[in-house]
Amino acid sequence: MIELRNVVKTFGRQAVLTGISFTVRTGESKIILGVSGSGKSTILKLILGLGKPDSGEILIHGCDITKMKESELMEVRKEFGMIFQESALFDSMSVRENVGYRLYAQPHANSETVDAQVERLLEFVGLSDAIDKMPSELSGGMRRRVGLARALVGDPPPRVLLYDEPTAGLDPVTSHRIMELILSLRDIEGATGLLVTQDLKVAWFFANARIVAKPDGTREFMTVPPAPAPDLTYLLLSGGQIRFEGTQQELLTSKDAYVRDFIG
Amino acid sequence: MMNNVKDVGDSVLGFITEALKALVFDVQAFSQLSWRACLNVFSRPLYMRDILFHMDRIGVSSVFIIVLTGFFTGAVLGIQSENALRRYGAVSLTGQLVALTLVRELGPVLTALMVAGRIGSGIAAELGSMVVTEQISALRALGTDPIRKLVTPRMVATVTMLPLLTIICNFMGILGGWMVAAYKLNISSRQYWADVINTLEFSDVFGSLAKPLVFGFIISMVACYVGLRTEGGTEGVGRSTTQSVVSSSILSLAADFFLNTLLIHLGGSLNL
Ligand SMILES: Nc1ncnc2c1ncn2[C@@H]1O[C@H](COP(=O)(O)OP(=O)(O)O)[C@@H](O)[C@H]1O
Ligand SMILES: [Mg+2]
Repeated sequence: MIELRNVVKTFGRQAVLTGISFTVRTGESKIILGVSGSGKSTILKLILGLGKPDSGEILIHGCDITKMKESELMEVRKEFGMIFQESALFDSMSVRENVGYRLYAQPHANSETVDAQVERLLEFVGLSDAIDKMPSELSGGMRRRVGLARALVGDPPPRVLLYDEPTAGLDPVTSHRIMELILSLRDIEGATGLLVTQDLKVAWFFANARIVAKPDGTREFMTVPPAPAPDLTYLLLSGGQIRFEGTQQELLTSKDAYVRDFIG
Repeated sequence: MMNNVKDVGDSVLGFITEALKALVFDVQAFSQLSWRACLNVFSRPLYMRDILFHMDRIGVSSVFIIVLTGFFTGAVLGIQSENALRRYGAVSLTGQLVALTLVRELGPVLTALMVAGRIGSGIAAELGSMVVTEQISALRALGTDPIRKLVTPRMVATVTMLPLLTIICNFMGILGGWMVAAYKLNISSRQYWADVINTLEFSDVFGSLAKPLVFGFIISMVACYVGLRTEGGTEGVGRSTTQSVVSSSILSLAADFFLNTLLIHLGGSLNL
């Protein structure tokens, strides 16, 4: 469970977040909307403890991470997988080393089990062939998928996934592919997810499409019935504040001029 | 008019206070980073593979330029010494002059400056681009301490490789001096080498190896500090690279001044 309480963050003189409070319970999904520069990425980084807020509390399972030392944060981060906006792959490492980084870095890592997990995840994102390539040899979409696979590695695997504009700048086919992966993590693995995006199409897709595992082991993808996933809420940032928080129904019927403008 | 003067005074004062504040902040943050990088040497995990990788990279990429730097510096010293020594009828002392100048001073300093340009800039650029592409954030998100993983190996590798490179520079310099002495000044090779070996004392060699330890630490830590502090995208990486070379060169030269003082003091009191 993640809870932000009145979080304030400034960079120099620029007030980016001026009092943000929300809660994401285990198993829930939240879509964070907002124009570019509204502080969406900043929120995800604060949740991971990659920066400290100026004031306010960030509770992970009830513990305030803003007061933790870096060594304690390392423990908390094990539960999280973050997909960075620009992939943030390690240039100097191969795809295999990137994806397995979290496990290879552990002392006494059993390289065979790690290899197996890396290969399984690369198969999941459809990049088994690229295992020995370097990040510079990959296209934008491939990099994003490697970043996704890297975020999913862990022992045990992370249960909370933070997606920072996972499809921004990609072509529709690749975007669709990545969204399907994200959906199956939510619908089949039951992962908690925070999806940051400024693209409403991505938000609708995440909210309304479904992946179902069929008894014969195959997976079926459904966009109908167009009912929003349960436990899914939207959050719209503007001017460092939460302008809107609620369900899809509430978002679509909001009377707020800014919200109406944003959803067009 | 009075107001204008006061305004200017205020803004100058404000500027100076800001600059001083930034300096104090830098010194504090730099010391913290250095302290943590050193502590990491004594605890697990020590990324041995990274240390060896960087030692290899630093050594291999610098050897050639160090060989050239040393050789030509020694040769120039040989030529210049003729000029200076002829007046006193002491051209035969060329070996002494070349060896002392190189081993005591030019070898360590020139090696440090070359490495600051070659390796320090590379470290700053590499870490800087890791910052702006969020690779540092990704490392932390995946449970790794970037100081342990990135700074400590580079520091250890530079500190161990710089004395070796200095030895190479010294040797090549003396070799360059010998070429000039033998073929231009008509000093016999035997006399030159005997001169070189007899002149050098333990304290000279000790100083020549102690200095690069300090320079290596300064160069690697400044490069890491400046690199990790990079802001403002690709442009920022360029700025960091330049700043790292300038700052680490100047700091190394300043350290050289204090080290010389210290070594002379030590040499005097220990009678080395
Ligand atoms: N490390 C930083 N230093 C200075 N300013 C930053 C930093 N990170 C983000 N900002 C600023 O904070 C604002 C919000 O950034 P961000 O959270 O990345 O926005 P979004 O992800 O919504 O596009 C931007 O104006 C950005 O310039
Ligand atoms: Mg962003």
